[in-house]
Amino acid sequence: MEKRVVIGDSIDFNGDIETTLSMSFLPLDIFDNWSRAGSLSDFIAEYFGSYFESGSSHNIISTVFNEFIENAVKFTKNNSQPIMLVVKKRRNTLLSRITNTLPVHRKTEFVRVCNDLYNEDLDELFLKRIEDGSEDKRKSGIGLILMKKDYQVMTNFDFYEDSNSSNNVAVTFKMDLE
Amino acid sequence: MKIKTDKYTIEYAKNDRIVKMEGTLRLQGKDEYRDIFELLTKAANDTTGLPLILDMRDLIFLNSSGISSLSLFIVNMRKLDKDITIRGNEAIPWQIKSLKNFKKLYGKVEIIFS
Repeated sequence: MEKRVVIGDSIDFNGDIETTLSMSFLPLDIFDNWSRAGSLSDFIAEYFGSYFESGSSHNIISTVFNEFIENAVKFTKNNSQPIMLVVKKRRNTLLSRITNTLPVHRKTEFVRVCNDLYNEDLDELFLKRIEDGSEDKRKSGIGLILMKKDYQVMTNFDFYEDSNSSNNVAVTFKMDLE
Repeated sequence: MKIKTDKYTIEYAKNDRIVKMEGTLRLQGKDEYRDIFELLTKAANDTTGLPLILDMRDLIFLNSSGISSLSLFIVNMRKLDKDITIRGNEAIPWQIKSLKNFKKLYGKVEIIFS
């Protein structure tokens, strides 16, 4: 497999940014208490929600971040190596990039899940994954399917090797809010 | 029959054919949803003739693992040809966006928003 694979939407992550929040956390802490993924998501929703007029923004922000944080934790290679999370705001848009390590054997299935998001009808893909009854969420990609299908979240997946030849994935996503 | 934690409550009222789900359901995976799945399956087995009612009006969050587990339950209901009604809350975004997926899995699912 190529060392660098980029899949998904083209997202401008740097232009006209009004404010930024950065943090890192250990996957170990989430595995120790899974509700911490929700706590982090609720915090981000609380922090950014007031920028948006719609009363539904808080719930939507928290829901979307929870899915991407859970996804990063489930795919990470080293539970003791921090996952980096950056959130940016541009007008009525929130952008985020979550970067984590990735075991070699997970890269293949994650790339397949990402390709499916862009090559398949998402309603049919959702039904297929449910009917398959996959026990492994990493293989099903249902969370990512729902984010794209039900929330119209734009996503970009950048698989790359760092200077230590470790596999990483940077997942960038963009959500429009009111 | 009730499953209660500091995050959520699932309560089955047999006489009313209602399973009420409240709070935040963001469990790690299908294994963690097993108890809830079994409660729902028991409720389905108890219910004949009239629809089983899933009351989600106070379910603020449900993660994708929860949607997957509930979807599998809906598929089982389809296999058993059982009727099911879902009560939703139009003020809760995930419900507006994602409850429709259950209807796509099984045409007999009725979704009533309030």
